[in-house]
Amino acid sequence: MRKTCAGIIAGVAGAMFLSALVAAQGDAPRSPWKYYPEDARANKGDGGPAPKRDLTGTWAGESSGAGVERLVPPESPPPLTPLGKQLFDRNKAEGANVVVAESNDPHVKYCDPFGFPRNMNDQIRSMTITTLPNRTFVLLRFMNIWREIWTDGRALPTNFARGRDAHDPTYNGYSVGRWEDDYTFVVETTGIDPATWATESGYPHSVDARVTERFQRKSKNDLTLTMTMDDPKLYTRPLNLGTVHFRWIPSQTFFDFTCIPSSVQRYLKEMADPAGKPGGGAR
Amino acid sequence: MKTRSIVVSVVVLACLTATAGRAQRGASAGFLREGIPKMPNPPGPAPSRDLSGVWVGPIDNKPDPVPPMTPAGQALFKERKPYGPASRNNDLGSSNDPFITCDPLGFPRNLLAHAVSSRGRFIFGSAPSRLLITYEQQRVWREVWMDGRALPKAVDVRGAPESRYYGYSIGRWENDRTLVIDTTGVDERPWLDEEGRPRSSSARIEERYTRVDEHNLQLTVTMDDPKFYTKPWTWMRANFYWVQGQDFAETFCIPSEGIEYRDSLAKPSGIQIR
Repeated sequence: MRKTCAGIIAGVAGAMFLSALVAAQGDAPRSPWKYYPEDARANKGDGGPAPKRDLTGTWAGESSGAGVERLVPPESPPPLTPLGKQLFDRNKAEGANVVVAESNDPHVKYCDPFGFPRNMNDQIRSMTITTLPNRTFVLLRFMNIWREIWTDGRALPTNFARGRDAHDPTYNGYSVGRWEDDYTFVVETTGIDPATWATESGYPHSVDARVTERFQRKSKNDLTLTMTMDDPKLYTRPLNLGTVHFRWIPSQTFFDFTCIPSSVQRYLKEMADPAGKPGGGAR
Repeated sequence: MKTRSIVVSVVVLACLTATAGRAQRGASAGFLREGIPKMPNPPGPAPSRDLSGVWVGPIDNKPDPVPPMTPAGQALFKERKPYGPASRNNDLGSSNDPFITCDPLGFPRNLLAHAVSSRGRFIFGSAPSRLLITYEQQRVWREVWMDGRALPKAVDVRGAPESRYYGYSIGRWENDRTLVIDTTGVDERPWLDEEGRPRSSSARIEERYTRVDEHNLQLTVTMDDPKFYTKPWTWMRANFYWVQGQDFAETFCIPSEGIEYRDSLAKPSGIQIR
C-alpha cells in the first residue's frame, strides 16, 4: 500500500528520475543543477580513505537511485513495556491492513513533520551535513528540514516537565555530538515531542527517550548511520532503530522532494476512500 | 500551531528583551540560554567574508512601493484571498493563503517576519562549494552555490531542473563585507507576501547582505519579474542583528494544528484572528 505522501512524492520523484534518464539518453543538455542517479551509481568504490573528523557534504541514501546498500529497518517486534504496548496499539501505521484514510499517522494524514529519529530513516534519500565551530547541522532533503547538533561540550537538558526552567519538547529534540575517534561521530538526542512517531511503523517514544546515532565514515564515499533508542518507560531495553547507508554524491546535487499539506488534504478528500478496505474502494 | 507559535514567540522575544529578572533565574548552560548577553559596545569590525552566525530580523524593513503588475500578475493576484482580511471578517476559512495549512512559505516570503514568529533568524554554514542558510522559520534551509556556475536558464522544461520552493541560488562576494546571492526557479505556488502577490519561476531575486560591523547586517532584496511586474523594485531593505546566545527555537507550522484550528475553532466561532 502506498503511503499518501510517499505516493505523491514517489510520483514526483519518479517523474524526476524518469526525466533524468530521458535527459541522459536523449539530446537534452545536462544541467549542473540536476541530480543524475546514473552518475552517482557510476561512482563505484570507496573513493579513497575517509577524511578525518569530516562528514561535510551531500550524501545519497535509501531510494536515491545511487545504488546505496539497503537500510536495515528497526528491530521488530519492539520490546515494549505494558505502557509502550498501549501507546503502540493506538498508532495505526499505513500498511497491509490499514488503508491511507484509516491511518492516524500524523505525517500521512496531515504532512506533519516526521520529527527525529524517524526523519533519519524514513524518506532519507539525501542529506547534507555542514559544520560551524560549535555545531553540526544535518540538512534533510525531505521537507527541507534541518537538525542542529551542538558540539560545544554542553550537556543534554533533562527537564521537560512543566515549570519555569523546563525545556519544551521539540520535533527534532535537543542534540549534542562528539567525535569518538577520527571517523565516528556520536550524537545523543532527547526531549523529542511524544506526538511524533519514532518509526514509520508507529513505535512510540516518551519525551525522555534518548536516541544515540553513530555516524561512521568508512571511506571518502561511504557513511553508515546506526541508531538506538533508550526509553525505559516504553521499552524493556534499548531498541535497535536500524542502520542507514549513505554514498557520497560526486555532483553534490540532489533533487527537492517534500510533502505539501494542502496536496495531502486534497488527496485524502478526492482519492482516498474513507470507507474502503484493502483491495477495495476507489483507489 | 497557535499555542506553539505563542510559546516560541515569547521565548524569542524574551531572549531579546533586556530583563534582569530572567537573567537571574540561573538557566541551564546552553540550550536557549536566557537573559541578555553582554554585547560589546561599540561592536568590533566585520570579519572578512564571514556571515556565520545567528541573525535576528528583519528589523526596520523599508521596502519600495510595489510597482504595477502585468495583466498576468493581476490575474493571479485576483484569485488570492489573504489571511488578514479573512480574519478581520471572522472567516479564516475563506482565505486561501497556503500557509494556513502550513504549506511551505517558499522564497523570498520566508524572509519576512511572519505572524507565527516575529523574528526569523538564520545562520550560514558551508559545504563543498556552497553556503548553506538555515532558517528558524519553518526550520528550512537553502543552498547557495559559490562555484561560479550560472543560474539555470529555465526550469520545468526538458533537460532543465524543476522549479522548487526555495529556488536555485548562486552567490559571490562583491567585496569583503558584501555577499550577493541571485536566485531563480522558484515554484510559483507560494505567495510573494502576506497579501498574496505572485512571483514567477523566471523571477530573478537578488539578496545583498552587507555586514556593517561585527553585530549588524543589512539586507536588500530586489525583485525582477517581468512576467508579473512592470519593473524591478526593492522588495526588502532591512537590518539584522547578531544574537550572541546564538540559539534557535524550533519554529514549525504544524499542519494538523493549523488545519484543526482553521476548521474547528476559527471558522465556526467567528474568532477574530490577530
